[in-house]
Amino acid sequence: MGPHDDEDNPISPDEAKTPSAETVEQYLRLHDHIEQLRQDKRPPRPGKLSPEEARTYQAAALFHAATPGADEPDPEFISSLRERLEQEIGVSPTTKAIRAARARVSRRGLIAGGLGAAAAAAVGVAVGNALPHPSSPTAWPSVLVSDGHGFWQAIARADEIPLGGVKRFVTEAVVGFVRHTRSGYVALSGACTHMGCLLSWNGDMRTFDCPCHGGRFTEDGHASPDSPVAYSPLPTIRTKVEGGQVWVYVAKAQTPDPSQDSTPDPNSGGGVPGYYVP
Amino acid sequence: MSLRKARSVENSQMRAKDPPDPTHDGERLQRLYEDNLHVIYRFIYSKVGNREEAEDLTSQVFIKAVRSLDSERATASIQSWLFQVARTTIADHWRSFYQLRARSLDDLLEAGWEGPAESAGNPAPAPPQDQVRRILERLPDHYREVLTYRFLHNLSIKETALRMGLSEANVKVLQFRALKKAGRLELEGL
Repeated sequence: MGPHDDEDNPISPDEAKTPSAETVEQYLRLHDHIEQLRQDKRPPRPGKLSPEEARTYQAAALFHAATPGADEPDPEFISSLRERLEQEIGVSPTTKAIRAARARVSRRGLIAGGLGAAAAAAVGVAVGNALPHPSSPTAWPSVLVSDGHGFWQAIARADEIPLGGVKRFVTEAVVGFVRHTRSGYVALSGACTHMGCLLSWNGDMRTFDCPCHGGRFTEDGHASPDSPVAYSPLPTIRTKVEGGQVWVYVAKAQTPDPSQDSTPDPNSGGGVPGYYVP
Repeated sequence: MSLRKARSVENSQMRAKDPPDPTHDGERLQRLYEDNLHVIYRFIYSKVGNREEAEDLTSQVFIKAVRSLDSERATASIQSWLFQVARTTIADHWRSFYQLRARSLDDLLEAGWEGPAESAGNPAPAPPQDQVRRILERLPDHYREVLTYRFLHNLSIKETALRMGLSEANVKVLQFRALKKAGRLELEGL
């Protein structure tokens, strides 16, 4: 086949009139470029282009970006860039602990996501003996922070989350998501009930997805039917709206309590399930 | 509006309504990152069309941003400022990628390739799906058809050829011409 054997196929009456200086090489070069984009790979430089050709390539990028799901950022990229930025600014002592907890989780996510069986073994070492007990009803509370054990913190302006919208929030010790539902603002813990990896919101599927082992939760926090294992539901976090702000009832970051068992809880990688205790 | 002018307008707006914020670096970063990562990544993706470059350029934008993080900047302004950083970063990238002379790139930008999103009040450009839909409406049927099959339905050349009753070679010619026309329409700002 060759791009010029199309005489018998009038592509359009308009085209016939166009005195085009197009070459087969141009068709093939653009085609190769598009195929690279479809594989999400950096395309080779096309060489010197006229401004018009450059626009053609930019149109290819724009159209590829409109392919369903193509422009969704990779969760691993999101967490590794966040770590890099935190190192860049050199965070304050308060946030340092959160950074450490988060880094621990995201490193675990990277390892587990990337290396299969070897990684599973490594994770077992890292978090204790671990495959936790996802079905154990005591491992994960239904309410993350019970009355009297936390404090209210404002995390967003109420008008900033549209009806149906989901916003991730991070407080000193808790990472979660708040949803604006018909019955008000509802918040859930943002840590997977499997091993505590941080979930990301998948707006297309309306699920919370875990980068580590493919765990998936519906927007109301229950294990999704297509989650590999029906993990415990995500603990809820109390919310209120006051002064135009959405508030969540969360725990304070704690300093290690010597009276507590010094062995880290294998379910959480060191702390109370669902939130980080530096 | 020039970049510098846009920035000074933003700054003066900000200072008026946003007193110095005592929140620490971590929270400022949090706000900067959580609120903007997706929108900036998608914007860049719509310009480069692949994950590898989109990740590189997004990282560059955020690293530039945290290095000059200004505690007095309000949330809305952070976003329009990030878009400016992203546009400059993309322009630098294109300059080397397409080996364009700086002049022709400026022509492109001035002619509105970057879209009408320069105003500080509305920093977020339309998502690529919307831009594409508007372009498709303006294309002749066969161009619209080939681009819909190839990109919106993500079909291979072969599948597209089958559906359109064309040879595979024809499809490659057609997608070239359709994208060329799309690029021209986009430049005209539709």
